[in-house]
Amino acid sequence: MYLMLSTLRAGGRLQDVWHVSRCSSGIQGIIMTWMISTPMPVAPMQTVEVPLKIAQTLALMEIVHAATRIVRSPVLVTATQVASRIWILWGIIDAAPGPTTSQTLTVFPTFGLLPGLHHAALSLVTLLFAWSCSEIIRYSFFALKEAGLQPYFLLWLRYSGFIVLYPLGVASELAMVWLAMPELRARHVWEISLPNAWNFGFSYWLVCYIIVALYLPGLPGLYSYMLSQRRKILCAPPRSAASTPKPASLSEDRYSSKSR
Amino acid sequence: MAAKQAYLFAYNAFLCIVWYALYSTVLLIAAHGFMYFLFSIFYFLFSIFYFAGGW
Repeated sequence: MYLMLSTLRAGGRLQDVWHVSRCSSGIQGIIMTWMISTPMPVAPMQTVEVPLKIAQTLALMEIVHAATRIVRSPVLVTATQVASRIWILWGIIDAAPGPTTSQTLTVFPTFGLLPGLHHAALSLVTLLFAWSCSEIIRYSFFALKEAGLQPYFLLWLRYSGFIVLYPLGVASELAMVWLAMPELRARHVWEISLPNAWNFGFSYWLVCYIIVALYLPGLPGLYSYMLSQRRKILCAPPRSAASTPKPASLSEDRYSSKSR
Repeated sequence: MAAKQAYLFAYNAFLCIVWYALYSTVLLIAAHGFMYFLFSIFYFLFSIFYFAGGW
C-alpha cells in the first residue's frame, strides 16, 4: 500500500501502481503466510449476527429484480443462488446455532510445521470470509457499473475471486451442514413425527442430506465452467466494444458474480 | 431509467458496505487466529497466480 501511494505521489500512472501492487503483494503474502498465532478469542456469530441476517436476507430482492426485469438475470438461476445461501443461514446456522457457531471441522493436521496452528479447519469464520469477499467484489462491481465505471481490477477480481473463494465457500457451507446435523437430528428440528392424525412424516435432517447430495455432483462441472468463462473474458484479445463478451457468463455462481 | 439506476446503485452500494463491515469484523475477530493465516494464504496464492499466469 505504501509503495502504491508513493508511486501515485511521484506522479506514476495507474498501470505503474498496479505493477507495484503486484510486486509488493507477493512479498507481503509470503510474510503474512507465516504470521500465525492463537485461536480466535470472540464468537463471531454474536458480533455479526444481525448485519449478516439483514445482508443475506436482503439478497432476496435480487429475485424480485430479476422477476420484474429490473436486471437481466434469469429468475430461476438467481433464485437458486439466493436460496442456497438463505438455506445455509436460516436453515442450518440459525436452526442449529450451537455447533455451527462454536465448532470447527478439521480438514488436515499441520504436523507442527506451522507454528501456533495445529490443524487447518473450516468454520463459521471461513464461511463468513468467503461470503464477504465474494459479495464485496460483486456488489462493488455492480454499484460502480451503475455509476458508469468499470475498473479493470474489479473485473479481474470478479472473474478470479472464485478460484479461491468458491472451494473455500462451498467447503465451509458443507462443513456447516456437517456440524449442524447431529443437533438437527437430536433436537428433531422442524420434524413431523409419525404417528399423527394426518399420517404424514417429515424429517428436516433427511432433506438436508438430500440437498447436499443434489448439490455435490454439480460442483466440479461448475468450477471448470467458471474457469473457462474466466479465460474467455480475461484472456481474450482486446476487441471492439460491440463484440466484447457480456459479463453474464458466471451467473451460476455467487462466489464470482451474477449477470445483470 | 435514472431512478432505476439510482435504486440499483443504492442497493448494491449499501450491501457492499454492509458486507465490508462484516468482512472487517470477521478479520478483526480472527486477527490473531486461523483466519489471519487463511487470509495470508489467500493473498499469497493470488500473488502466485498473478505472476505465474501473467494476469
